[in-house]
Amino acid sequence: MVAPALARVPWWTLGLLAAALVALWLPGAADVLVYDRSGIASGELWRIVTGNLVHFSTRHLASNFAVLLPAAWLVETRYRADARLIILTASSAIGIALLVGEPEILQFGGVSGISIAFLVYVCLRGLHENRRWRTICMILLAVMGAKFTAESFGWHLRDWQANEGFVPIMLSHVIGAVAGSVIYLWRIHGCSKPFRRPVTGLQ
Amino acid sequence: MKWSALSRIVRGASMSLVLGVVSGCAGMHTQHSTTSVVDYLYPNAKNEPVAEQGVPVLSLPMRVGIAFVPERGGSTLSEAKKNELLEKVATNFRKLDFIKSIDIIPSPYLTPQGGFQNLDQIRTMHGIEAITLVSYDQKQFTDEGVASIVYWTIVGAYIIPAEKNSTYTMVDAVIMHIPSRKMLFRAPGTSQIKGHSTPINLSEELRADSEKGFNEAVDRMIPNLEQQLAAFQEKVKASPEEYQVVRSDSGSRGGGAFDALTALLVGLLVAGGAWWSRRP
Repeated sequence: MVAPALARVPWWTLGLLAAALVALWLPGAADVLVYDRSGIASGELWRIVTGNLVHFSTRHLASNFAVLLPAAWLVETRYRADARLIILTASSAIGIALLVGEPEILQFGGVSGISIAFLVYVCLRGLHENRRWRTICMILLAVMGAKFTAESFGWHLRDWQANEGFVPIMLSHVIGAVAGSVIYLWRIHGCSKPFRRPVTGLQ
Repeated sequence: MKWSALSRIVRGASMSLVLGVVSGCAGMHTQHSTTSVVDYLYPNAKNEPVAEQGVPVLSLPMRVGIAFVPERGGSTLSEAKKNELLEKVATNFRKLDFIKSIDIIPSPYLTPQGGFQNLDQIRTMHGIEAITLVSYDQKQFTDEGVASIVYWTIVGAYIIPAEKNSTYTMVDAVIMHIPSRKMLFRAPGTSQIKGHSTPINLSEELRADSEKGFNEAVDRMIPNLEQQLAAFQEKVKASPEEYQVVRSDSGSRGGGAFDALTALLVGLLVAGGAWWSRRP
């Protein structure tokens, strides 16, 4: 009885939250985990992945987890096997993309890229499910599309990040979205004709 | 008879001299030296209204100056001592990532009652955006203890430290944002030094106590400054309408982040939508 109940607990989601809280509140943890270009260059390769867990303030963490918790929870309870795949793929892809595409970024932190990966994945999977959920997923994908379009033109709802001591990096969101889409395509079909076969239910 | 008369005259003169010295030393002496930020920044506050303050735009990393508020009369502290104290404060804050540099501004650059005009000149000359103005208030008291009775022996005035000295010092650092004329935060430091001295080396002891008082007060001010700085950082984050931050080193530190409204909207849509879609 206990084992199936424990199996339903979204361990990866809770683990991400716990790791992010430790990185925020344990003195010195953020220094060891943050994406730091010079540290990575000197061989501290874990920073490529762990940088996503570091947040520069409680507000930064809260806004990112407001998206990540429901999205990751859904993925882990509905498509359990894919949660860890999304975390590992998105976090390493974001870190590598920053190394290549944002050479002026010396430090980076924030789980929002992984949140977007979960969100895009769960919404794309939702397109195969019941009508209500499909509608919600379409709205969410439209919101994400509008967000990317607006941000690519330099428009933000509110530029509060400057007061937190960092500049927002859109590349992490784009890579997160790409990672979520690729895992979805790989999981459903391979790259061709992803919507031909309906996929529903738990795996 | 003649010798005896002469002896009486010498004894009388000696007694008069000792009485004169002792009576001259008796009682309480005080020394007071003070500088005021308000007097420096708003010399004509009674006649002219204080200008309205704008919203400070803090360009980070920031170049900051640090200086003692100029004295209107003679200075208690030497220029070398001022530099030493300011360097001690500056060293603690140079390591912060939002501080580009801290320049020590020598006293001759600040004119008494110079106001913001003087600060604007310093800003242009040194290329700073904010300045830490350190003011002080020091009072020294000298009282005579019971042992001062031995001053009657003259030798006692050289060897018995019966002068009781007390030195009370307060230093206060005010961080001003020069373009907006706005105070960002402030922090004080205080010290109390007690000591004894003979009347002969009284002024030397008082000078030593004065320096010790300044050293201790500045040492106590530094942690208070750190505390106030941390509180100010939180205030800036909490009130972006009161303080604007512009990072001139944009790109050095990046973050993956949602703004709060988007995060709330998306989070509620996902959670609420999942619940709604499962309802029969």
